[in-house]
Amino acid sequence: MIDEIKTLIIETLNLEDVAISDIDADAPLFVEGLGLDSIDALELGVALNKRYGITLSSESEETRRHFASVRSLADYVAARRVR
Amino acid sequence: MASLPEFSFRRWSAWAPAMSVADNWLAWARCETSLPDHEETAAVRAMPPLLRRRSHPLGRAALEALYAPELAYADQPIILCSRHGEIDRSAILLQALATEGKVSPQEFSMSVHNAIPGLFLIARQSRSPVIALASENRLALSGITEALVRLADGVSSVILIFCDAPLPMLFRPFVYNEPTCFAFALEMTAGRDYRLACNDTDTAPSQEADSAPMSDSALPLLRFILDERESALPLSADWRLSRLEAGHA
Repeated sequence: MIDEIKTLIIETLNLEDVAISDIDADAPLFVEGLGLDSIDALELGVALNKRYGITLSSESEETRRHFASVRSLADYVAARRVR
Repeated sequence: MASLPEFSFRRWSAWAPAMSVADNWLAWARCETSLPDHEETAAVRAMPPLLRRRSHPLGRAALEALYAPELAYADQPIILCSRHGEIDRSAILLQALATEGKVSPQEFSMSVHNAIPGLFLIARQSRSPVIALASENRLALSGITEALVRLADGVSSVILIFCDAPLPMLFRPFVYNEPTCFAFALEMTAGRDYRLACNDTDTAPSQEADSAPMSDSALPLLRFILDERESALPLSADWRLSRLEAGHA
């Protein structure tokens, strides 16, 4: 699941020159770490919805926690996916 | 009518597939070669990858021209002139909306006409002003006019960037289609090399202005500037760009 989420991030966000092994599953996804921004968060939200049928609220504090790292996102997707 | 200010094009840069060096463009301007029918996307190595990933092929061509060392960009105002901009984004968004009902926030955020120079200025952390123009067949006239306004405002140098690309198939039946993706940048300053001339106020329209048909593309402007054989380039039914003789009074 971790690698699947990494691949989804790389493909969805056009992260050229980034390989799965370059992404630390526990590092922050946004600002620090991978350096993604708010538009990337929205883009990932759409991708997660299309791929796994998960709907995330863009405002909630909970969503922020799930988006903290690849690992937290993978855990959340594994628990909540409907496809 | 008060005469319009004269001006110069001080520096230039250009990018198209297989046309990455100045000599390629000079040969093209002399009509020795035509733009190659070749698929290539500009590398834009000068831009951080996290920003570069947001650009499409047209944006990359424009960014490559803006980053070109020959242009020596120094935080001048930028005027982007493109008939369609990155219209492939609009096609992607419209088709996604029609088929899935969900659109990409990333595509949407970049689907404005000034997004390309915006990305460039974010990367440079510059607050220079940007104007983005679209026009059917008066792009060169619109851009030069806008640059003259900026120069009259007291700015000493303006960057004009022209870019367009082949249209998505969706739109091709309706309008002129550029055969190749291209971008060129011109640094325009006050000077004594060119002026805009109006056919109504000038007693004798030049032969060149009469004989050369107006183009749907901005490329003839670059050719006119690089290849100094012609003395005038028609920019609309009424206006032309005139090259001034060296040392004219």
